[in-house]
Amino acid sequence: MKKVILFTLVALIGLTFSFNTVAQDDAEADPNAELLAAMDFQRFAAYFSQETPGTTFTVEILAERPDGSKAATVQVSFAFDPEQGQRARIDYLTPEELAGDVFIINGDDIFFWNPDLITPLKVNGQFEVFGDATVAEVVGIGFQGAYEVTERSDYTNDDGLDVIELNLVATREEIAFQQARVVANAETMQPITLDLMDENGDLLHHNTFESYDMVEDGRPFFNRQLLDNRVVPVNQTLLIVSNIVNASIDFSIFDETLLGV
Amino acid sequence: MNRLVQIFALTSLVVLLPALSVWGQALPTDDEARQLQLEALKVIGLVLLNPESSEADRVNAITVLVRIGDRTSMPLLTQTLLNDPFASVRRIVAEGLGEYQAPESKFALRQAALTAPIDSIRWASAVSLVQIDPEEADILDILLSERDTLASAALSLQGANAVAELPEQFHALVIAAFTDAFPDDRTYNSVERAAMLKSLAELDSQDSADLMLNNLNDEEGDGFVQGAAAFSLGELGVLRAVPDLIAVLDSNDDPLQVGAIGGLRLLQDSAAIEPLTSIALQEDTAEIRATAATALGVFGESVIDTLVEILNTDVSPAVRQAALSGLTQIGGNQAQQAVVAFSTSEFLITCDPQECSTLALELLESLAAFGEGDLAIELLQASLDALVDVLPFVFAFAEADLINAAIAVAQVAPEVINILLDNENPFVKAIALGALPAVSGEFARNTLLDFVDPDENRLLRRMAFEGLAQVPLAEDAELFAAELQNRDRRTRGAAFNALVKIGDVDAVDPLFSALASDSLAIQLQAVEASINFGNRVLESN
Repeated sequence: MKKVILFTLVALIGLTFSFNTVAQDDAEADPNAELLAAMDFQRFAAYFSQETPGTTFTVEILAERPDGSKAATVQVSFAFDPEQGQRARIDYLTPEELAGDVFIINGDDIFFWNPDLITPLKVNGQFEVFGDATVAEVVGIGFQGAYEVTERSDYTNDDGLDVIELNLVATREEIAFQQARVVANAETMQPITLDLMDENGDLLHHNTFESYDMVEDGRPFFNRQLLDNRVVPVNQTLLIVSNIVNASIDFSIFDETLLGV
Repeated sequence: MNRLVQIFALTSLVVLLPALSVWGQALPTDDEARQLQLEALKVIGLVLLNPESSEADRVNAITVLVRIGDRTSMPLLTQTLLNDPFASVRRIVAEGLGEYQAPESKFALRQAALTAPIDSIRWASAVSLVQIDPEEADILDILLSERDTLASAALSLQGANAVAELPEQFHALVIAAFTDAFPDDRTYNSVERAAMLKSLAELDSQDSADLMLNNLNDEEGDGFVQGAAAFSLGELGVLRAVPDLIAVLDSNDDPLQVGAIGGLRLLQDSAAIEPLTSIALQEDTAEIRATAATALGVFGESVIDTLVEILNTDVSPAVRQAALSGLTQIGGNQAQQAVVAFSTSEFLITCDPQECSTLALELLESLAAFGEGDLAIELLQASLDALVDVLPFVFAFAEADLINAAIAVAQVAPEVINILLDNENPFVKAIALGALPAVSGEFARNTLLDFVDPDENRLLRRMAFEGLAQVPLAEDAELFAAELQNRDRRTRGAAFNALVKIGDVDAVDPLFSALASDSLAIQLQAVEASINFGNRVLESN
């Protein structure tokens, strides 16, 4: 019954996009906001293009436990239209038993379909997850607009790399992780690790951005992230992102009524 | 002929039906079969060579080609391996090419192993290459000397299937590489190091036991990696590890506990019963209690009292389900009485149907296994009534479980099929139709044929066609041919499968039509069916 779900990934990347554009003026005035914007840019810039309203990318997911492992590959598509708003779709490509599963996020509604279904099902965001349910919450977290800097340290880490460490607090109560700590390469502003905490500072997730890549025009993105869930520490998840393509997307792929037709 | 078929089906349904269904019917010629196969391969080529094809379409096409292609497909496969824009597509080729044993693919595999930008593709290509030509073993040396490809090898070799793909003569090479790399926790992350240990266990590296034991007992060790060490010691059957595994059960580190419980379950040493019992009854985390309850199930009658206590008292349905599974596995009067008592208790009546649906299914199968048919029927009806609002959802994600439960119940109480068929809810009827072929075999045909009318509910038609496809007769060819372009993939799939089994000449034109469909999904099903149909004809003629 386990299914792979990453739809919040898309929603949160969309959120990050909004923050990037809305908060640009603030970023120019506030050096800390500028730092956070730069770190968001390093992780997510490749997903967004001024010229095209749509993006597709592929994520390989390795869900690991001490007593086993599972793997899946998904293709994520999302697009924005002034009239229809933001839409997203996730297609499961592998393994074969999940291939053909589709999630469509249409506003607040999430629809699931696979070839076994006669009609698509409307599901909620807490639906069963393959691997680690919280992966989706964690992956797309953006800093700018969502967090403000409470403390900054500059130092050289154990690998001899100059880094910036920022302690962050959420700007709104509804943000899932009320505190965070990010350590980034001081030269490139690429985050290396990201700790996500609750309001008491208890560690909930430790993330490592293991490598970055860039699309043809030089916009960067993280392409390998290790998620260590400290709440349910039996699970660790490795995500590998590839094939980011910014292109116009036919909005009919986001129409759940056409699934299976 | 029908009567003759029925008589034979009574005695040897599975073995005789395919042969009997061909008897007396017109077979296509070899030329027709080859034309059909060529047309099928052309469809795949058009998908893969079209730069506009989506990643999902390309994955579907290449999956079919790797499964059913032959040496004539090699140019397309190697070109896809080297040039396809999507890593997911290239990986499928890299993983599948070894089985073809085609020397002409060696150059492409070597090139992919050396230069592909994705490490998992490099490793998969190398494995395929040495499957074809063990003389190319230097490629493994190269990849195992690089950090990223060694990590990919470790992640890949955690599964038995992947280990089976790697020729045994190279196991020692890989074992040595993982053993050397494992201590380097600055270069390799916890997932990769855990994967090295699990791979060493899959490779049956008995010499790695000390490495695992040392890691297990390292007070500074990473709990996730130590959990993998604990589990791997169980996989390797290292009985001397039992005291160390028991010692770490008290750890507050969840992954270490889960790994140790798993290791002890595999080792089945009775010294583990008492500590596992403590964990199963007292641990705070439900997932760990459930893991311990599952582990206890392997120890037989001596743990029945514990499992009964868990079944009747744990707050978590998942933990109770683990105990129930153990009791069913152990069997005997005491277990049976406990299961029967639980089935009549208040717990399931008051439990949230969504939270308890898998427990209810487990209970159904358990009651059936104990021969408690009446109780099973009662419970099945009560469960379906409780689930009525969410049945479409449960059916979508647990169809096979529901049908297996119905089959299990029907084996001790065959009347359950008619009870379910009389229900007005189409999902309940569908469960009965899904169970029917396994319960009644050839005799299910008449009931199934009642549901193939085009105006029938789509779900019930699908179940009927899938059932009929398990026991097709030559006379069904026309019925199935009409469904090859059905909107529902499973109904189509049943029709394609049935036509391949029947092998009648009348299937040729509908298969050609399906290959020319506007729908790629239909085309790809037609491709696989056409290749299999052609092979069947060529072997028969």
